[in-house]
Amino acid sequence: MGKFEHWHSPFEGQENLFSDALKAQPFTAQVNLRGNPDDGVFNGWVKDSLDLELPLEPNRISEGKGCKALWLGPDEWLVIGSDEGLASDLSSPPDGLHSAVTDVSANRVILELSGPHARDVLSKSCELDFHPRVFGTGMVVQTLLAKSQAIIEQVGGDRYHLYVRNSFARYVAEWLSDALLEFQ
Amino acid sequence: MSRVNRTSAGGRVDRQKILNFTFNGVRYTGIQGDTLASALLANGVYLVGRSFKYHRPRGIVAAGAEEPGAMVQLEEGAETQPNIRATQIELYEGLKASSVNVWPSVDFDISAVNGLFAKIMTAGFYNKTFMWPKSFWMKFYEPVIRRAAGWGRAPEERDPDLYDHRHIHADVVVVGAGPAGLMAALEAARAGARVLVVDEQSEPGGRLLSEKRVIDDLPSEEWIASIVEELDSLDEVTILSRTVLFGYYDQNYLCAVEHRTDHLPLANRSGQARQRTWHIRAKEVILATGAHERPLVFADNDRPGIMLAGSVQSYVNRYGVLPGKQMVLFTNNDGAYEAALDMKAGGAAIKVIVDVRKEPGSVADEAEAAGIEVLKGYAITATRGRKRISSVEVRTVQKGARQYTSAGRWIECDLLAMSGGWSPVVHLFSQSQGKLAFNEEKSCYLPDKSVQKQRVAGSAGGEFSLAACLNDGVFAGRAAAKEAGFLFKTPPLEPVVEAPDPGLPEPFWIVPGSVPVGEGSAKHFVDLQNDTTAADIALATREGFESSEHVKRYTLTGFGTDQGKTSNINALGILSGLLDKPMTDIGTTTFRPPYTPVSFGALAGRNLGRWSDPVRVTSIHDWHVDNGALFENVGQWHRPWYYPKEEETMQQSLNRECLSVRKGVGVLDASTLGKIDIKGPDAAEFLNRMYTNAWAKLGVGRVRYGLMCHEDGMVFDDGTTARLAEDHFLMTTTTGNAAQVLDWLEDYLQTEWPDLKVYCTSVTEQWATVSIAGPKARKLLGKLAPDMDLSPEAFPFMSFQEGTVAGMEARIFRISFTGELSFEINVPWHAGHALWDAVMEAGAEYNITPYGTESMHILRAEKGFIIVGQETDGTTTPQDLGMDWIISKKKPDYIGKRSWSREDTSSSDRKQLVGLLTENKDEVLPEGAQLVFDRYAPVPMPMVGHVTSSYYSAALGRSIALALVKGGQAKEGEVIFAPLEGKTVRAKITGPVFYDKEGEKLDGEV
Repeated sequence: MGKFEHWHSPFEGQENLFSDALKAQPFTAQVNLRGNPDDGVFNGWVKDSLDLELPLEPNRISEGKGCKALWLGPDEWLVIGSDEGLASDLSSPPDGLHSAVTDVSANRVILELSGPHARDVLSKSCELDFHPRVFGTGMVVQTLLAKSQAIIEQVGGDRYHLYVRNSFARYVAEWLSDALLEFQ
Repeated sequence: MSRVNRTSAGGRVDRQKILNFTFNGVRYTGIQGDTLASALLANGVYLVGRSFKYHRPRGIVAAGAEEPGAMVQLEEGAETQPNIRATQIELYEGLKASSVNVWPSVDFDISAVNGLFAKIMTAGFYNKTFMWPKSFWMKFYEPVIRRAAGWGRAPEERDPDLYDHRHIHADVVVVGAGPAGLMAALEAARAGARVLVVDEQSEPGGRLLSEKRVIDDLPSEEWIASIVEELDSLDEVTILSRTVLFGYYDQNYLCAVEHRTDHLPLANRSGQARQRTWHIRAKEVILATGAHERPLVFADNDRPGIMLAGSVQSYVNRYGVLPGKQMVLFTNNDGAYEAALDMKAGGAAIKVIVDVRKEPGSVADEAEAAGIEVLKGYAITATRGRKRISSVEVRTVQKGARQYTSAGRWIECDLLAMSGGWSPVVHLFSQSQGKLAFNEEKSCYLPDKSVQKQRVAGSAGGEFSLAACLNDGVFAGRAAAKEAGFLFKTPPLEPVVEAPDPGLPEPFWIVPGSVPVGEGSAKHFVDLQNDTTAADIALATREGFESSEHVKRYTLTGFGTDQGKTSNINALGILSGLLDKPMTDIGTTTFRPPYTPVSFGALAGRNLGRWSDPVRVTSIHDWHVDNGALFENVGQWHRPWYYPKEEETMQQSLNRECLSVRKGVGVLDASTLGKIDIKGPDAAEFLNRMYTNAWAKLGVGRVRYGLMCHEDGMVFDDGTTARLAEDHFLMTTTTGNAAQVLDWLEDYLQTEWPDLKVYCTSVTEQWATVSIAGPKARKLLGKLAPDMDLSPEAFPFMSFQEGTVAGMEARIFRISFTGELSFEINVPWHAGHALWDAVMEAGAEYNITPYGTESMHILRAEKGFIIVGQETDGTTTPQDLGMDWIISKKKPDYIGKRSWSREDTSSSDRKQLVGLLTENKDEVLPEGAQLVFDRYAPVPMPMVGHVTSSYYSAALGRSIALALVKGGQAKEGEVIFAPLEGKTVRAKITGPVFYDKEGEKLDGEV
């Protein structure tokens, strides 16, 4: 039984919202990871399990093999992986280690906003500064986007991944597609 | 009509591009580059409106945002906008405008009769005149005054235009693109700073657009173009023209509104945002907002054709319009002479220059050399002309006299240009909480103490000569960029200018006439928008209003949409004279946002209608829509309310839904409940402290209901929590409180008990929840999960199991909010719809019925289960709800416990939860109805509680209600009354559980 076998995206039937500049991303494994980054056991276990060094600098991401970790807080990361079994890779923490591994693969959907006007659209939807001097590829931030809680990750030059809670997904996609209108 | 006043060449206008427009129904033509004001003047239209109180004829006074009087109703129907300054409307093809404040027409206005009663309409006249008889106010005085006084008309149709908002961040924000602002922007930009220039005009240049200057050997127009060209070439510079910076808030957060299509013909506007509100965050701000010219206050100084001298200069130089052909200039400073010389060059005759000073600067000699008569030490003491000025009376100034007895001389004219000097535009500085101080030498208020990261440059800071403005801009731009962290590689700009020195004005706040101010019929207007006169200010001081803030409110000076841009300083000057106090001791009033009015559309942006608030929906939402559900808002969620079948009333639908749960099986989309994953060795101890009941001994695989209180002992949230493993719990919260509960948990973990090893993770939207309830629920689940043992022994009430349901991995909780056998099946959110479909298909043979929130409310009320926020309101303790059973007596401490020993919370007379059964079983009490014990008590009746929930229960065949009643728990069986409009309903107090008190239904059909 594939993990995503019975899954339906909130964007099914909403194709009119999407364009080259705004695309819905396929399902992907997502794990919320909590632990103390000053604890060598925790770091070692994560590194062994995911082949990934957790980013300790705020608002950064780091990449491992087939997965990446997004800094959400001093002791919280969102790990994204192409492998459906991502959560089980972290299912056996060492005895006595205080950590939390929560499968949140179905908690958020991911939109990709890209193109020469991506930043303009963000400026109509979010209060934060995405100027290249301030924010760039490999950075991530938790904020409000179209008045909805969201994680924004810059994945390339003018490409952003927007992680949005499912229940807000259509509202946010409609808002963004409206914000894009003047550029199309 | 021909454009009688157009000059033959020059200005920032294109005489080849003719634009048609109408004003008060008459067709005119203007040219590209005109404002409505310049086009009206070009066409010889001087009378544009009537004044607020006296309905006196009024014309155009200024050329920009400071215009106090020339406001018009722009366009018609849905597009109409009231009270827009003609001086700020860029002319476009097909523009339609009309006067405000006139009836039936601007030429013949009935309310002008108000002028005859002027003596009773002095300051404070509303408060004094219309007090008696009291009953007349609402019926008669108020509506009549409102109709007579009101400005334009608000549109009655839906606004057809789009508006939006954007956020922008900059190292240096420059407000104003005049000479100082342009220099500041260029310096900061050359240093590499991200620069944002905000300017309200249609093109950069500011005051330079109105004056003939040479900078760096270039005519000013070419110099401006060269600066703008360089700014445009730099990637990190943004110039927003037609953008008014209207609000300056804390931490260099500024708001501006960009007029994007207001200058276009109506037909060319569609598809774009008409106005855009910019939310600006700046590291450093430079206020280069310029200065506004001051009127002089003299007798009947409000006639059409009396204008500010600098504005006259704008009209002739920038717009190619002569606002008159026979001009008189009245001034107290050297700078204004240039207006007369420019008008003369444009073809007007200068009848005379009247200067209050005996010894003006050398400009007077130049004027005389040009053949203009200059009257030194003279003032204008009277004017004539009904709809346009026709002559002025001049007398020699008699310093300090209450009236001038010198001989009067009448001079004919059709334009009176006046200048009382210039006032720095300190509005935004003041909004930013900066403090102003009066500068005696320059006789104006200047920025003194700044509290934000900002600088003031140019004439906004009291530098009135062009050379000083440019240098000030250079200095400010470099300083701001340096503060923002940029290093300079280029030396400071050193612009070389040829410009006359405007000098400083000799303050002359009020000019009396042949009789003292306030005597006779002449009026000395201070605030042209509110019709406040110098006599009103004198009256205010006689009546004891001496503080500038009191005078402002009593006389309404500065209260208009122009915020007193031309009037405040003169009012303060006059007040200073009346009180015989120096200006430095008077103190100015506070400037508040907005700088100029902002439309509601611009403030709302896209946050209208469907965009006004996020709409949250579950993964099963489309099914609910497709199957006819009506929705209700629960927080931001749209939840199915009930599912009426064709022809069914709401009550019929609810009866059907509820009975199917009681007799067969119903299904509810419960995905919206908050869910929090709680993990760590101290998780059980943490729950012990957050909830009122005990959690340490809850077995793995078991579920418990919990009540959460705030420190004050009042109920905050409730829900069930399951123990997934020794150190792992899954908490559920109410739908509306999910985020608040997580915040509450994190708050305590991070600030009070950082020693507890617990992690909380929101999984509200990881799981979709399909709740099946009813005696047949086990049979239904059995079909979907054939591998699970669902017997009451193997899967008891208040436990949970993991299993495979319809081929999906699921967590199943056996809990109940209905009193019936119930399973809440959780699958990953995106599988919710597939699970729902499977449940509906398998349930068909049991006539499975989807039910919504309203039936859920009825079903739980039948069982006496509370809903937080309905039975509780933040003043309700668990004991009030009769839930002592959930209050741990053994735990040493937990949130809320300490508050229950307070005198008030332990009183037996608190409002307590009870059930109510109406005498008439078909009578459903309104929720919120007040309750009394004595139906005959005199009004105001002593109220003893209120109805919190009330429904018709199909299962019981009667109405039921829950209520909070004073001491209610000891009053079971007693009678209580709900006095309603037109009737009083009698009810009996009962316990809150109406259905299956023994809990015999919980196991359903085995």
